[in-house]
Amino acid sequence: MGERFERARLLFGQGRFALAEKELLEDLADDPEDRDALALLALARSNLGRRDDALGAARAAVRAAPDWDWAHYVLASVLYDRDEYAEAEEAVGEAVRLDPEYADYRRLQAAILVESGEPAKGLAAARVGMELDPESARLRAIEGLALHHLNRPEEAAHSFREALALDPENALAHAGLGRVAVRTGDHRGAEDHYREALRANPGYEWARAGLLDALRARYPVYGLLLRFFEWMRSLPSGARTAVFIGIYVLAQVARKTSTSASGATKTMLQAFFVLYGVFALLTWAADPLFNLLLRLRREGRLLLDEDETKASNAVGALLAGAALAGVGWLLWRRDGWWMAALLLALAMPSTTAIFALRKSWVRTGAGIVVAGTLLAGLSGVAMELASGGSVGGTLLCLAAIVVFVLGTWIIFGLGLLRRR
Amino acid sequence: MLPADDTVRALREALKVSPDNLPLRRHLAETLRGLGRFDEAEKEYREALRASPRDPALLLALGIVFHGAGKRDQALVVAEDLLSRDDASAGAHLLHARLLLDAGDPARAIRRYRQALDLDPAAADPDLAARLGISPDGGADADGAVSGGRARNAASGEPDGEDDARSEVVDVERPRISFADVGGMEDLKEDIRMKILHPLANPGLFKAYGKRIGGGILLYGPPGCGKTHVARATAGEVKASFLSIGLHEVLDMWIGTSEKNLHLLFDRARRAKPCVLFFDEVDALGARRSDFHNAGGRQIVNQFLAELDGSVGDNEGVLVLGATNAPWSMDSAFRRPGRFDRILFVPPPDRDARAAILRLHLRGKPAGEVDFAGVAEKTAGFSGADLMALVEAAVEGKLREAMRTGKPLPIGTKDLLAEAKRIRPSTKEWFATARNYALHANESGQYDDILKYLERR
Repeated sequence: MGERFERARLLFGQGRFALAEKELLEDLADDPEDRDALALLALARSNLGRRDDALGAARAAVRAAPDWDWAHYVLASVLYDRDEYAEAEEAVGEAVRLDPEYADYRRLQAAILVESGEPAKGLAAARVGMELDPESARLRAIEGLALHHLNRPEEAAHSFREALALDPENALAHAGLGRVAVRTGDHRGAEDHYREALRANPGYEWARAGLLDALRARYPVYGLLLRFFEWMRSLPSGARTAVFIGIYVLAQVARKTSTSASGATKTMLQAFFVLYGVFALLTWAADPLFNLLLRLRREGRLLLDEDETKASNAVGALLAGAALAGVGWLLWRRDGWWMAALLLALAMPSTTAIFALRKSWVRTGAGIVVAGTLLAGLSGVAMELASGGSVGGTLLCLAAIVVFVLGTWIIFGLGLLRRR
Repeated sequence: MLPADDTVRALREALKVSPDNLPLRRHLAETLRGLGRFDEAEKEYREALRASPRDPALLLALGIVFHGAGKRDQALVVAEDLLSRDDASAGAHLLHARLLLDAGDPARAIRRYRQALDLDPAAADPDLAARLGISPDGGADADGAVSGGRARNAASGEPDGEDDARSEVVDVERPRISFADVGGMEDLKEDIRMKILHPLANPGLFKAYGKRIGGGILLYGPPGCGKTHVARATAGEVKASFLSIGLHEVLDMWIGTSEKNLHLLFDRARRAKPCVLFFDEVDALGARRSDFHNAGGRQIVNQFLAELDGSVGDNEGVLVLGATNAPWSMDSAFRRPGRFDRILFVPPPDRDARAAILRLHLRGKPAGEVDFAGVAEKTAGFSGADLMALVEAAVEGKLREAMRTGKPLPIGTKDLLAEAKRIRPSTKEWFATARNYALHANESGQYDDILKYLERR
């Protein structure tokens, strides 16, 4: 290998990915088919967050050397980083076929399978890898992750501990123990595990998100929500849908029944319906709302990233607006006030969704739609309050409410978000 | 032969008849340049460039005219544009070498001069070579004369032999700048005074109070915020030689016989004492040994530690400074007493410093009324390098406009604010990473300054 490639390799090893890329491009100017340079270029670009360029280089490496297992492995890594699991699985499968004895290919294969929703297959791949390299802490940690996804928390914790026995600095194993602790409701313990994971790898995003969850779970309402989510995750997808539909049907029944009921029963049914509304809202907007509370603490302020801070500001403003409108309704009993409260409250999930989207034209577009809908809805409220019963205003506001509800379902339902 | 004025007149008359005759206009411009009538020459070159905007010979000639007229910044823009092309000529390298020398950067000027000769040995310029203190063919001058404020090899003596060749690639400087030339950063300068300058000046007093003298200092912070400048100014303050080792020299060490090269560098600093030995991007040389999969990598780190300890040579009179953007990548052994035991955070410039930096970069440029405080307010988080890029972008915009209209317009607040909106502060990404380390891997509190800075923002 030439001196330039050697320099690039050194720079890559030091985390100087932009400089490594520069050296590699100069190397490739002399030999555009240099498979080593192309593969390293793909990894450098992937580390620089330039996923499309990384994919181009990885594919070029495979074209230059179709029988080279490492090129397929690099392609699989790049695709995995892009959340393109089906193709990543295919690429890593090819790497495994070309070199079935290399344990690290099995590790990536297991990770891809777990992430793509096939933890049982992921577990099998991890175990094959462990037979090839019994001392690999990374494989042991992936085994733990697969077991966690298979709802076998005790076995998962055991695997994570074994991984830590092999390598006490394995961040995935520490974070995995954090996840298991959340599942069992031990939020303080989860906090400690996540902190350890972040100490070992301060840039570990999964652990940072987990630590935020654990810190928010200090507030009992959020702790309950978190446990509910963990419980839901442990259910098969069909059962998950059934639970959501079941709660919805119950709430509707409570609402209908409360109109004909009287006395304490009526109050209870109405309270149940309101609780359902709050619960539904919190399932979408709990993170930014509780982030507002976290920001009262120094650690919380520092731990939140820019988008999380902005989301909590926006959702906080909407909540305050909704509360004020609620007070307005209590004082003056005009329909416009409750409509405003409902509109602002329902804008919270969509607003949360915008800040959880990757920065792209989709996010900009969604932002414009949400802002436009909110403005239209508030105009409707203003018309309603000004005229004391404008049909047009009411319709405008209700249309905005419908858009928010549908928008939330579309954004969350299509899985366009970075986080949960 | 016609008198010069008559020649110019004749050429102008000819151009009236044939205004699109490019060779004729080029000839007129060259004649004017030769006569030292730079303003008129500039006008003619601009006219010629309208017809042929990317002509490298015309651009180079315009750059030379700018340089001749003392318009250094305009000349620099032209030179950098030419050098960014794949087919940059020897002339462009020579022009850049002159500009670098004028800017007080003889080391880079020498390198640039040598690159010009590599491209075209006939481009040798004895006058420039003499100013650079080298022979016209680019080799070292025999007498080792002092030139351009730089004591070439004077302090270190001649190389020991062939093995020294690599260490001699790095020039020993004697910086003329001091803390007075470092805008803002008052806390940092005070820290360095307390930790380096005062102990060196008053060793008895510090020893009486039980304070240790010596050891190294690690400067860390986002890129482009003046770590190297501060290190050079520190050397200037103690009136010491300055030996700066950059990333490329370090990489060469990794690829070559590294331990020996490192020892030679330290030896060179010891011979040049008092000397500030500065390692830029020191994490490239002092990475965690656990990160190395080969024994060779670990060996060079061990050698570096031994050199810092002075166990392979006397370090008295040698102050080692390191700068890094990634202090967390360094082996913890480097932080032990006597090594890089003092860690100083070099933050991005504050508002006043930003205004001062902007003022400095706009000096000598055609600027109108500029609200420096206003622009500084809008450039929070910008590094010194970002601010320089901002000014350069504004200058380039105006230059393009001037080339198009033939009318020079002054740079104003609006131009700077427009560029400030376009440029993303480069420190943002660094702080995103640094925050994680400061929050989660800050056992001994070495990154507390980062947290304080983030909270103040």
